[in-house]
Amino acid sequence: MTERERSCGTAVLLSRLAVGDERAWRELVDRNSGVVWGAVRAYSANRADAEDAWQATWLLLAENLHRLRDSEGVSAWLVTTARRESMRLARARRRESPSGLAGLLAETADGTETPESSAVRSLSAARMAQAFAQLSHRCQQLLRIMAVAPDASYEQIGTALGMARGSIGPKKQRCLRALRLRMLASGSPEAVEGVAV
Amino acid sequence: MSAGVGGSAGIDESTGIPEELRSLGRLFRRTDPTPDRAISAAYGAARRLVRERDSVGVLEPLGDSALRCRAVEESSDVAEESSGAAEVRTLSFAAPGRLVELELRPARQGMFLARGIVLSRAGQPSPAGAVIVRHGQGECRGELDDCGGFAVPGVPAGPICLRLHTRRADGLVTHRTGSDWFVC
Repeated sequence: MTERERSCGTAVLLSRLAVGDERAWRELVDRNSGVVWGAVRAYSANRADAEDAWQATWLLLAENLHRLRDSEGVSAWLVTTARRESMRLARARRRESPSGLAGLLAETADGTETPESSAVRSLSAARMAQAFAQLSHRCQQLLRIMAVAPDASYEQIGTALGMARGSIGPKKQRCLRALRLRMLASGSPEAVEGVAV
Repeated sequence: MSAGVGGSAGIDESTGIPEELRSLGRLFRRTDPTPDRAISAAYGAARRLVRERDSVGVLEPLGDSALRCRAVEESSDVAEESSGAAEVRTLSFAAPGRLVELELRPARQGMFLARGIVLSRAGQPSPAGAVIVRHGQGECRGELDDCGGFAVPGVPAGPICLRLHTRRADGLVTHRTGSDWFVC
């Protein structure tokens, strides 16, 4: 989806919302949920914190939407708010750092085997999780958002992470290269043959 | 398919997304999807959209001890020692002619006691009224006492926002002010 198509679509949703069409709100949520969840997870130490920041973000949008003057600003407002609320919560709850997949492993390592935890424990997934966890926090944040919200624009990603739009592409390449190197170092054949996670 | 360490091989030509990124996406979607309850909560926020179009004054945030303490700790390298401690958090808000000091004190598990005082500026008497704490499941309230003090027990952890309603002696609400949502 291009920026223009995204903006036009949001403009239509906002006009429907203005006449009380609540289905438009659900579409607005569906359209932005990937990048917002990616942003709160990138800056939250665990899923519980991420859910709180996520809920605060949508409540804030609901009560401030009428103040946003143009449709192009909605997505940027959402990801900026998601990041700010996640960081604010991390400070308030004294969290040390956002979790990567290693943190996810720890969160599910309580003896309760779920389909999710068994999936992450599969060999190839574990290798990728290990390689991912060895990346810098900045790379983890960037790749997480790009992975869960592949349709997000560089503009959205830059806003979500507080990075200049022009630096997203080069940073992405460096982070992917680092990921490949770590997978190679772990002897993972997926690093050269494509990863079947 | 081959993805060299620095090369661009392994990119899906239909999407332009590198294989590693697609694999990470599958991994995150399987292991860390957006929870259904989170999606439901986001859908549910539409109720606020419909209700809150009335005009409510702003409780402007002035300070938050959580942010101040963190900044001090980071500058003095003592963050590790106090990490994880459940402590009292104080916030202040300003409304026209009023100052609200709020204290969030951890109570039983997952709950907070919100208490504080509403101060009037320029020597005005303490207002009559109530502080309302809105949260994801509803709201709870505490009446202002003669000195402007209030206590609101049973505030659940998670997103909350404050409302200050002041009223005349006959009970008519004269001013409504509200803060933005924040997470406690």
